[in-house]
Amino acid sequence: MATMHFLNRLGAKLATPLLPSAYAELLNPLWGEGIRAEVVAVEAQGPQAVSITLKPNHRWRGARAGQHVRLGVDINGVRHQRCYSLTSAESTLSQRITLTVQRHPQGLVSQYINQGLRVGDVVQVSAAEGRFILPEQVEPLLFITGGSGITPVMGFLRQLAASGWDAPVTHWHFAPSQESSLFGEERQALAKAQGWKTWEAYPEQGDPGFSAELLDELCPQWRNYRVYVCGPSGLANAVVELHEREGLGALEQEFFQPPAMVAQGEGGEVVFVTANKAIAVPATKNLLEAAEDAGLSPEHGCRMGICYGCLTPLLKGQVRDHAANEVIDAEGALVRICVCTAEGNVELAL
Amino acid sequence: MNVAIATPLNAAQHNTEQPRALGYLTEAELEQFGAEIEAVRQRILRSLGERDAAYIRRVIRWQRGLEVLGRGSLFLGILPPFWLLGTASLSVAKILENMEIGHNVMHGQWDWMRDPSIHSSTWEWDNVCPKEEWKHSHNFMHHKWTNVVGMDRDVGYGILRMSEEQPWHPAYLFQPITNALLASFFQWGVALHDLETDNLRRGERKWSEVKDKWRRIRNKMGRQVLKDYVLFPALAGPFFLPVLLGNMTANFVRNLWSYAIIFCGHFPEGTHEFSPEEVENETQAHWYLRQLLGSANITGGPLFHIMSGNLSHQIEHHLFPDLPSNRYAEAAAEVRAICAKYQLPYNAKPFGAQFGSVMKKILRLSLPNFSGRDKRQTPQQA
Repeated sequence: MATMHFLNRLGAKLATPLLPSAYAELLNPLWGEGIRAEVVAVEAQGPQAVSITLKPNHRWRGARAGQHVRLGVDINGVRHQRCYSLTSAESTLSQRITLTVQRHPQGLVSQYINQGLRVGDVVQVSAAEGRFILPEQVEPLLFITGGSGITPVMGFLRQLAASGWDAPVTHWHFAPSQESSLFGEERQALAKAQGWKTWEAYPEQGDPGFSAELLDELCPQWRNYRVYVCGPSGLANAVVELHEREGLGALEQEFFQPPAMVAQGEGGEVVFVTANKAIAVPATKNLLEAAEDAGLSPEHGCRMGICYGCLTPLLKGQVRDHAANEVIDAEGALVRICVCTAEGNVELAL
Repeated sequence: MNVAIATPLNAAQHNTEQPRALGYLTEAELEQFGAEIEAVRQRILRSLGERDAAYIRRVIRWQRGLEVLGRGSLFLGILPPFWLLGTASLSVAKILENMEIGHNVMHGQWDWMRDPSIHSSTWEWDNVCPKEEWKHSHNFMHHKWTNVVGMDRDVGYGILRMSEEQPWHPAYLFQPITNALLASFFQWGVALHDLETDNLRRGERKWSEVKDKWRRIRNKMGRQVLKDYVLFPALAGPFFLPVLLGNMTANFVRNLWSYAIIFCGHFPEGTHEFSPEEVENETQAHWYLRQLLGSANITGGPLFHIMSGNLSHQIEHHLFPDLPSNRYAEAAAEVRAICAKYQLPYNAKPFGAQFGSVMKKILRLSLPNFSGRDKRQTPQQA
């Protein structure tokens, strides 16, 4: 241990001002700085999505089922980062991880991952993040998912099947159609083998959507279950409201869509104090994009308000946080610039 | 390729016509010129992509590969062919690292890639000058106030007399020697540059003001010296001396080369100097014109441009300090055409001509101004 420490310090002194990894990278891109992963498989997951399998480098510290990572890919020379839930069960240091990316018509990154990512590519990965995880104690579980909101729950199902969960598991999934429904066969097979209840509905094709009545019918005991929801905001809000109405307190929720930027106010001039730049920003543009328009490259992660990788001190003025739907004007407050817009003139410590 | 310096106007026209910015362009022409230069910048900015990202990554890989080859060969440096190979590779690696990579990354030329490992906010270079001091003295003081005597501290670096406007002093008689020392120890001069030691001596700046800077510079110097002159030689054990000498030579070669390229950027005959009054309330277009007039290019082949960090396109670098250096050659063609259209000088000559003219200037200005010679360059003279 002491020898390793000494060698690391010596390596750093020899490589200064770089780190030894800058040279190791010449031999293998996986040995470069940060957590990186090699794409070892890319498989179509229905007509609108791909599942990719990643082999992370030695810096990966593992993940719990249901957590997400920030995936960084270079598209036309520019690094883009997005958060994706892991669909793999709990993983330790050297294990492979999987994630599934649904193609969005306007989504630059999701299109690239669906069409441009190849086996052998090396991508940037963050450490696993997120509190959307299974409970420590065995208890009945109800999962309600919609669309690609299935992805973290797929990690749960695989984890539960692998570890043997000694309590009822119920899953209610909504999808546009059977064809576009992710992991349909695998979920059916798991449910059958484990004795879980699972339903799938296609409201766009006439199936009834989520309702309290239907939930009571499908899972009469649900009030004694731990409830997990992940899906479009309409579905998620309906479940959250019902849960609160029943006096059951907070449930487990994972967001996977950025909040809509509903214009309020008129935007304003945003001054990036450190960079000594200013830019006029409309009320519909978030401050992260504004900073990028001004030529800055602030640190950030998910671009949807969940990872707090872009927290920036607000020096002056007020901003609207669209994820929390509140106006923040406290001087020095740390704001998530990816979900904040300017309410009048603003100064940021960027 | 030599380009004759244009002489757009004669003195008689000057007196009868409306005032011209820096003696060249009317207000309307200046705005139009500025817009055309800006259009070049915007076009290149919009076209940045995969090809450019691949370029800088390739240069970085080559540079690190050459450095490993150089340092590796020097361990066998007791054998002359290995010493030569090692020293040459390390010299080239250090030149690339400083000029085509470090200098340009710290200008933010590659920030658009949003790759934190090739970003101006994080990059530190293999040079005794810390990134903070460099970014202040160079990116701000020099690039904003280029060739404004008394504001751009790169005019003579506070130790040389590079302009007739700087008052003469007997100490400048030793200028040829000072100059040779600066060339030999260039990175050390650059490191101390931002301390403004001349102002410290004169008491215009207090030591307490620069305490943090000095601590940062000292630490950086310590790390660099430890690496090149202690640890790597020590790792070679009995071959300590060849490694030490190889590293010293590589740093020396890099010093000379970067000095030579940088001095060709603003000091050859034909480059203009400016007074603080001329840059008051300066517009973007006026700044563009001043960057053009205050800079000089060196002509040469693609390899020469890469080895000079594309500072051989000094004019384009000063017009567009934040555009990736691999695009300067293409920008140069457009800028040159715009200059021809507005009958503006475009100073581009081979290395020998530019460097020779700088050396002549250093010798000439070691003596007091000759009487009868106008102090300032004017378009009529140039």
